[in-house]
Amino acid sequence: MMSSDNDWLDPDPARAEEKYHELRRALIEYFARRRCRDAEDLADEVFSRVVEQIKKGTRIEKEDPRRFAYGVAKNVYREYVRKDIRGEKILQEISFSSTIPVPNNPDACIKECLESLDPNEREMLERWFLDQDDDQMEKDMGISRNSVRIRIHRIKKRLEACYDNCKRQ
Amino acid sequence: MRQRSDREKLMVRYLLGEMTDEEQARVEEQFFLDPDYLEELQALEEELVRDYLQGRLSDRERKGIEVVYLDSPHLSKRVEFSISLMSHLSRLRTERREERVSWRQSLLASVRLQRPAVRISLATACIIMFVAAPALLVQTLRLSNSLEQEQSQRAALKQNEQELQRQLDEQRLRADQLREQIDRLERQRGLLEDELVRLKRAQSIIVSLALSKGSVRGAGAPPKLILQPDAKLVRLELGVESKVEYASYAVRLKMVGGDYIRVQISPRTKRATSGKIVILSLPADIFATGDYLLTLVGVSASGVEEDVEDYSFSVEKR
Repeated sequence: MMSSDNDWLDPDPARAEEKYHELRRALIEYFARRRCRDAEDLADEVFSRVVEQIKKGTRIEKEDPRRFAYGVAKNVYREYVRKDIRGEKILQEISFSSTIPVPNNPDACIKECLESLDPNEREMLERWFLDQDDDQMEKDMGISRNSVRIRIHRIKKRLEACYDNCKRQ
Repeated sequence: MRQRSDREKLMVRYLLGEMTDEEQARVEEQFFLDPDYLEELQALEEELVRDYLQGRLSDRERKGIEVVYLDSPHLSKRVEFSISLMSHLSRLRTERREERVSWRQSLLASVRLQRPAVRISLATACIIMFVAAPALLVQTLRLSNSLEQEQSQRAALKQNEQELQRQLDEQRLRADQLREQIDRLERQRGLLEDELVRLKRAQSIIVSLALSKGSVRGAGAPPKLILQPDAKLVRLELGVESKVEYASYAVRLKMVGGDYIRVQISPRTKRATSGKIVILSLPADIFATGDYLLTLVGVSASGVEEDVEDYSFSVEKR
């Protein structure tokens, strides 16, 4: 999405970009949890509809872009369900390419991405995934369980982004 | 398994698809409006998936995961990624441990050798190693220094080679430029030679002869006009000393022993240091080999003609 299309999220382009990614994550989560196929494409469809409505003159209050997008997402979901029941796929009307190329060597990508992490982060992942000592980790790190989880989640998110990027190359 | 807070329990219910539509919509609205809530939810999901893979979930939760995650392409991708990651981390850990174990085992195995002679040899080797260590260190440092020197020499040689290569490239470029220049000059020379041939040819086509008072009959050998076979035009320049101005000129041409030919012309005139020059052009084919007498006739404005000058010359046709 072009930065000029993100003005409704924030007038500052950098902040708008950040908010765009946050909102996209929420939209993907929404559609994925509702068992939609192609959750990412549906999330993009929401963005394109919001931009379309803004171009038609719909005003979005500063505080409400996320709420507004949520409303559009519900409509897209309703349409998706209706068309899905009729045996159609909403996405057939939209030209998306959601094909992810199969990596030649996914293991090499994971290895490469793991190596790109800070050694402490790698160790933290290893410990969290392989050892059953969450309580000890909390103690060692001096943070709550929720904070440990969030740290792990952030590391894994970066790792996933690196992995997707590596697979595309 | 550790007890979850109410907030976590609510999130787990959402993640396992155990909510009513209203409850689900409330959670969705919350994570739409609050990015931190979504992050917390997804972090909890990581834990849930990990616990599932480690077999730490209750039956209810395990079944919930299987229904929700394995039925959704997007969510199952997350599980797949966690599986890949876990297996890779596990492999790395195993490899690391094996490396450590094999190193330790090989050392222990060496020490546990049964034969005393071998043990003594090993002990001696250890002592020698400890004694020789400082010497080895000095030697290593020396080697390291000489290696550095060699590396810097190699770098200098490489730099030299690069410089030579650059010079060679420059010379090649200059040679190319010179070759190009020579080609250009060759082409120019060819053009000039063509031009020269053309001019020579033009010269043989147009034959000029200057006749003056000195070329009048009886004043020595008359000037000779040599006409090559390709001569087309004879250009005669007649020097005139008379100060009388005429409106136009005509010429009478006579081959000695033959008839006069009157040639009506409009000769051009140009000023000379003494008097003027009348220039006329005559077709070459009217001439044959022999002596000629040419009389320049001045024509006044009223049409009265009078002889101005006589010129004699000979023609040789080849």
